[in-house]
Amino acid sequence: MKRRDFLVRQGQFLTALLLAGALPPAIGSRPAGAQTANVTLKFLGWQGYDDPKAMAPLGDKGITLDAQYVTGNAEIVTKLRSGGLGAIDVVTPGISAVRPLITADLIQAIDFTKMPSAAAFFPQFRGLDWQKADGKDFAAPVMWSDYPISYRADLFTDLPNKWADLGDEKYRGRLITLDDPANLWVFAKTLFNTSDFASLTKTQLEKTVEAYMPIKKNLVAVSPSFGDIVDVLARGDAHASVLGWRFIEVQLKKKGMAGASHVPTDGTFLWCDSYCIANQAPHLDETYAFINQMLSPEANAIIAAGTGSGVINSEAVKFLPEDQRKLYPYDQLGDFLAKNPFYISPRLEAEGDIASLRDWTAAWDQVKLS
Amino acid sequence: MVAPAGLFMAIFFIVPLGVLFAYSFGATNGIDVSFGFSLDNYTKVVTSPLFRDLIWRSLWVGSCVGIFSIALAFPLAYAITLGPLQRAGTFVLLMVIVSLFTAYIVRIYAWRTLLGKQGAIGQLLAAAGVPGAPLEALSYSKAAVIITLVSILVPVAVLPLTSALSGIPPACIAAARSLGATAFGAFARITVPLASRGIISAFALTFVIAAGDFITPQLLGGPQAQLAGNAVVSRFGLSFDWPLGSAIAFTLIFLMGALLWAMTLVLRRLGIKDRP
Amino acid sequence: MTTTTSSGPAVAVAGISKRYGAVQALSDVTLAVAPGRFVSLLGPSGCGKTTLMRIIAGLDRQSEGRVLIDGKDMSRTAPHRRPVGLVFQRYALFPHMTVAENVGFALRLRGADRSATQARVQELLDLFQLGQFGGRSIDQLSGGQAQRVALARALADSPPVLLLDEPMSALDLKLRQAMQLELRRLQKQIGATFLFVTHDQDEAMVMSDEIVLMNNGEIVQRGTPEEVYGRPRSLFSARFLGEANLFSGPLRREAGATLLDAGSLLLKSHAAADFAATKGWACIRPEAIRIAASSDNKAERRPNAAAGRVREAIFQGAYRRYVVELDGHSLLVQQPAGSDAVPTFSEADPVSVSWSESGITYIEDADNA
Repeated sequence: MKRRDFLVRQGQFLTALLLAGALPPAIGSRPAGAQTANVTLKFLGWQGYDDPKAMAPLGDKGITLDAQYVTGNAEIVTKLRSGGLGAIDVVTPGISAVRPLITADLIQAIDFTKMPSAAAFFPQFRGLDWQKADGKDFAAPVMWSDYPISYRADLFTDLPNKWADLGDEKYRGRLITLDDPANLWVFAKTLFNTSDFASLTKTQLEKTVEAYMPIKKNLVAVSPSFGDIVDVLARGDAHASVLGWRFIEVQLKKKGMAGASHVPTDGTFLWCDSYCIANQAPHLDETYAFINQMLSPEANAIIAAGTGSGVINSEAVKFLPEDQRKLYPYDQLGDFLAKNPFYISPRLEAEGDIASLRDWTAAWDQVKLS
Repeated sequence: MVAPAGLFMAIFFIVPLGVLFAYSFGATNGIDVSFGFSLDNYTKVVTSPLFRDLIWRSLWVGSCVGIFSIALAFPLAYAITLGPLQRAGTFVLLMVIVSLFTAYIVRIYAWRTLLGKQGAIGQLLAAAGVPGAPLEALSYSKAAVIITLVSILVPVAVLPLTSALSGIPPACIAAARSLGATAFGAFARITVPLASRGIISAFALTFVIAAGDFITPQLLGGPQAQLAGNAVVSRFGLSFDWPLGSAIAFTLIFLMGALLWAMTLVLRRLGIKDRP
Repeated sequence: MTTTTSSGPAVAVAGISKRYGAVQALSDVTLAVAPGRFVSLLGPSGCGKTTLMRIIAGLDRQSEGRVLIDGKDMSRTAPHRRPVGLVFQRYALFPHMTVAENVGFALRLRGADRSATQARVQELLDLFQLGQFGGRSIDQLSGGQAQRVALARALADSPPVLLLDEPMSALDLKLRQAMQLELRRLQKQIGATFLFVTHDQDEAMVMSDEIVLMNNGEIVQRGTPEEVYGRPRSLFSARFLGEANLFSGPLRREAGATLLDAGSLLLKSHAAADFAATKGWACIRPEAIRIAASSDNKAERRPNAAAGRVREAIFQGAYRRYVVELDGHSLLVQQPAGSDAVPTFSEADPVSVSWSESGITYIEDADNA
């Protein structure tokens, strides 16, 4: 999930952009007589989901945030386990960490009736399988996105029909990709027609690596962040990024270049991050207020604009910056989600013949470093 | 003086390093790291062709960078100490130190600009009628990594070299000349041996920094020029395998130490002693 | 041991000038040194003596002029091809080599075989009483030992000419005096030409066959120590070497003698008949003056004699010195001590002083008087 690196780099620019936009500049100003609770919530999660602009109205209610950032979903599990319970209020796991969090009894069920913003969620983001247990919801989605090919439309005119076409010799020296095992997952999905990567075996992993090798031959570089990929594409040192991100399109266009995204016909998969409330959260009411605020149309749009991801609140689309409204197919969301499923990350713990996350990252290392 | 320095080293260097070293004998289930006394991680490092290649490549790239950095830094250090630029010495040294403060990442991106397909060097070669093939090899290659690291580390090498060369009495060189040594002879028999400690320091510094680097290979290496540091970073990041990451790191550290030790030994055997 | 083949000078420089930017370090220096001689380049610091030596060695390049070594023009020859040895002020021993390695350096460079080198090194170490020091490192040596190693190193390849740049300035007085004699003996023994740079006039006089006195980048006077001391040709010479009583005044000739009228004093000498100037200086060395008891304080003015009173009397072991107050002059007088034949005086004693004509040296009136 290196896209967060990108956020740090783009953050300041976006802050300026958003301040100039139609947002209520409410920071620091507090109407007289408003109720003040003066509560500081403990946040453990990805940077961006604590966007201060999105949180601004909470300041009036005396709610502030003490944010601790993670660099991997596993950290959320580890930190909650090792003394985080009772201190931490809210966490932001990706899909793969939600189930372990529920199983380990680290998060509590969410009562959406306490959350008015939920009324405007796209129907596709309600009652998702992976957030449910015992008929209760344990996660409130906040952002989602997919993995397309990001490319320079002026230099990369021969688009691949299928993912495997990227192995064609005509792409030699023209491709770049993100340093992430998701490269392999994209190919695993096309090979085994599933996005539940926790179900794939070691043999299937080996087949996936084999399938990826022709693409590796065509790579100019394996880049540490999407921000760096934008730089390489802008220089023309590479023409397309195998593992892309729709936000690259926006960044390239800002540089006056023809950025574009493309999903080959064999489809891609989606990720989704959620807010979850930790068990024994010390400030339950304020945590609900916080999540409700962050999932409100305005705030959800601010977070989406900052992270280049998709919104889950249908009312949020109109608050997005103009160049991001068409980034995701909000008009045909149902079709898109039906075709490109959410993914389940491989398991952390090894079990039998199933390939664990370590197997996948080791395999990816082998591909990228050899 | 010694006690506080020792304490400082203990707190900020030995203790963290010790913890990391302890990790390298441990294991992980993907969620937690457990300490132990297992050599499994080292066995993995030694038997895996991937890690072996990466470590050798690190040592090789580090040595190249060390040698090229000294080759470029030595003339400058010589010029400002024993050579014709003595008067400008302080100024040049100041410039060198200032250049050390230039952000490392900025210089990497500067080289990407110079070495890229649209870069100045490419344009220059194209204008000179050189065909495109060498350009492809320059950006995102081992050569790009070495060139960039050398450019970053030359100022680092200048400092110990200057310090060593400024300690050489010019009269010693004059004495050697009057005793029948050619200019080169005096250089080889007097200047170089007397500067050997500085040369070894400069090599050790640049070699260790280059061999342990992972940012430059990541940004300029391409898939063929990744170093051991990149494998370590993945272990500590994505795959959450700190024990194996530590084992790779310590294998690299051990081999770097062994290489430097062997080098000192060879130099001593050649009669180039690390004194005064 | 010297390899001088011609009977000409071992070292000669002709019309040597050296400029560093606007600074004129040497101007038009010409000098020839005969083989086997011990010659000192003497002068105050900054007079150009070290520069001249470095030009001879080839370590600095002259702006103009020629350098001849053993009759061959070596003006543009690289330093390692000039047959001269060099001993530096601070010895410049190679700190990364042992004593023996230092001494054998020139031989190894020349490619001499190992046993010959070892034999020669041992010979030199023995010559300098360093026999058992061969394996020592340089930082284990005392100042005197280091100095001898530097000499041995410079002499290893038997250069016909040895240039020494103030090699004793780092030694203490006792050691320096011992080394002066030792060096002199050594030079006689090996017969090489020594060109010795020093600012110490005593050192130069003790050791040299010949002194070349330099000032402001020029040779001021040269000659044997006796000549340069006894017959200074300039005020600088008179003052730089030893002490001098100097009197100035108009000069006149009278019956083959030259007289200098210095007010209350009249100096007269037949020895300087060819001295043509009408105005000048007279130099009398303190030891050339006789001093005697006198009651007559107002004697009539006579040439080469005067009466006065002792202002200071100083006992210095080997001799006594008096500062005698004359009418309008004061005079430094030096008498040997320890002999009953020589009377002694105390402060305020009335005395008469006199000197022989040969004690007077006339000096032309220079601008910088």
